[in-house]
Amino acid sequence: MGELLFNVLLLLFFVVMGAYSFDIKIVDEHSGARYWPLIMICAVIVLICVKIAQIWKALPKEERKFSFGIFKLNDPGVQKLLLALGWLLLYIIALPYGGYALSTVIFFAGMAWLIGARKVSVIALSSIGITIAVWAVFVWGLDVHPPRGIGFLEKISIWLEYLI
Amino acid sequence: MELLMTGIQVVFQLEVLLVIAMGVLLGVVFGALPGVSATMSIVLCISFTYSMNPVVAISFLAAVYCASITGGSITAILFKIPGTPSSAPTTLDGYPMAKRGEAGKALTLALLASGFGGLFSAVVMFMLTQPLMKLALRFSSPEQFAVCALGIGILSFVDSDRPLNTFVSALIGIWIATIGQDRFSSVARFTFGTVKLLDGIESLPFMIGMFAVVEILDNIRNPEDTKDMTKDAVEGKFKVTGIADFMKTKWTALRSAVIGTVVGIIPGAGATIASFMSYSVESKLNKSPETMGQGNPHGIVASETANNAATGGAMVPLLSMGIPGSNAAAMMLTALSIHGVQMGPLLLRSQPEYLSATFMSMILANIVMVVVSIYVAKVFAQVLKVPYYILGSLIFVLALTGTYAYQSNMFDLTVMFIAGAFGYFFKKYGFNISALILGMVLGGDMEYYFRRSLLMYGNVGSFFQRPIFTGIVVLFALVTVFQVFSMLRKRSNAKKQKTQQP
Repeated sequence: MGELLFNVLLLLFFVVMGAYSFDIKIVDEHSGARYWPLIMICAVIVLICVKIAQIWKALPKEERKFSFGIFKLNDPGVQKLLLALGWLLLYIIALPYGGYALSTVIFFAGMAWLIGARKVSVIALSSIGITIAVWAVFVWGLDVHPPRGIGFLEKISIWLEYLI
Repeated sequence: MELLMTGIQVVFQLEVLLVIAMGVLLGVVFGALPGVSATMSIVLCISFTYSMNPVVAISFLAAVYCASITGGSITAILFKIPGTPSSAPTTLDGYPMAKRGEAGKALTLALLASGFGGLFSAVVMFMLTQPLMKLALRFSSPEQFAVCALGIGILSFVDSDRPLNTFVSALIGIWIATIGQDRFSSVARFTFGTVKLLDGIESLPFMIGMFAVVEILDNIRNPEDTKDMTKDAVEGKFKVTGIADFMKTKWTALRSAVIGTVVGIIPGAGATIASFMSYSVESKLNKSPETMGQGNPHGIVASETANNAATGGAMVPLLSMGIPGSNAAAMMLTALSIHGVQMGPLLLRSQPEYLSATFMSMILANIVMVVVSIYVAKVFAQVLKVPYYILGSLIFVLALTGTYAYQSNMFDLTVMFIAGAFGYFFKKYGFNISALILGMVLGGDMEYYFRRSLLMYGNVGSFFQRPIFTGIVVLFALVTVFQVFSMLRKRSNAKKQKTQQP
């Protein structure tokens, strides 16, 4: 049922994209900007419809009902997966404000705990050590300027960047 | 022969040999770092060459170029993060091999294959620059469109159990390539009014999301899969293997070297397209196609031989016509122009020592690269002994930092996140990530060449007046018919077996 739902969502997405593509201006009669993506979208829609039909046919009758149970939210693995995605998203949002160094240390610590680390000393040392190592390679070695954060975090970042 | 002797004379000097060794080391390390592509490696190293004389500078940059393509395979195999886009197919078989404790074997194969591919193309280019240029000149937009379509068409049959899924994946990839400004009319497509999407979706952040992030999410969801990798590493199963394993894949290597060299010659078709095409071909011709993507050594050899072979191929139009065969070659053009090297037909007449220096240094670099890369790989591989909760988080941090380092653009991180989240379900429900990536890589060029061909010739029928185009279409048709026939026969046999069972 999960596979069916995913394919239906994909189909809906491409139907919307197909409708949206009619807003694309045609400048050239021979090969306007609209036609190529529209051809791809139409082909995807047709083929996904075929896929949905195949999946429905192969699905046992008792499984042809939607229920929230298909999301398996009680499964610890699914819960960890959603937490990991949420943590990653939070890191990306927080990065420009917290700066690279602090955000990465916290991100690493949280992710390590999520994956299975339990010793606080190991988490703390590895998160700080690895952040320093990656900083050394990318910032000092390759002259990449990471997000600096705001306020005093920005000043600390600038100081660290030009330390070497 | 005279050119060869000139090359030996200019390159076999202590200063040049030292810079080649340094270039190889830097190139491998840069290439291994995600977010640092071969192009970026050359850009970073250009500043080192300002005080060098032209021959030394050429040798250094050629070494960096060859080695950076190779370096991408190290993280592709150990962490499933392609260090360079051209190493993306290497992850498909390299990482499964590392997971079952064969990281050493996978790395050795990748490095030997890279060395072989680079050497093959350097030697071929040295001997056949002029005749091969005539072939490149005959490739126009219809032929380039046909080559892209052939690459996608062949891949669609890689997963013969689920060709529909693979084909849909490729089409989605081609559609993703249309996001952004249209190349012809500059009309914005699927940007939803945002400026950030005007340049389209960058392939490297997308690939890192689709490969590295999806893999870690998979391991978080199913943690028992990671225990074997760490266990085998702790037991010391990482061991560099000998050349015998590579010799078992010699025909794959030879075939891939030819594909990579030819693809490299075509302007605009670089190492990434070469590695994907070679992998696709290998998936069909391999004796055990069902094992491709599960840790088949031939997959690694196909990808790595082709991407390094493309380096020599890309130098042909660069040196002979001043047309770079890839982005990295374009950087080489800039760098060499600074040193007064005049690319084009006059190079052979006015500055033959530069032409011979380029090829001789590429030959030497590919030999040195194999030795240096093995030691760099051993250092990287020590990381395998680390527990997965550290390793997984490290891979995440490397992927994020590498994605940001690519263009110092926060939007790339967003792309990576969306690709990772979408890719997890995409893979879980049977779609083909490599087909999607190939569609994305080739889709932009496919559309460009197709529309350009229409502008030049007016209608599709006129394309068939070109013999090379017709030849490629016939080849595509034959491959398609053969594949459809094979699939139908396979299904018919499966049905017969089912009905015969009591």
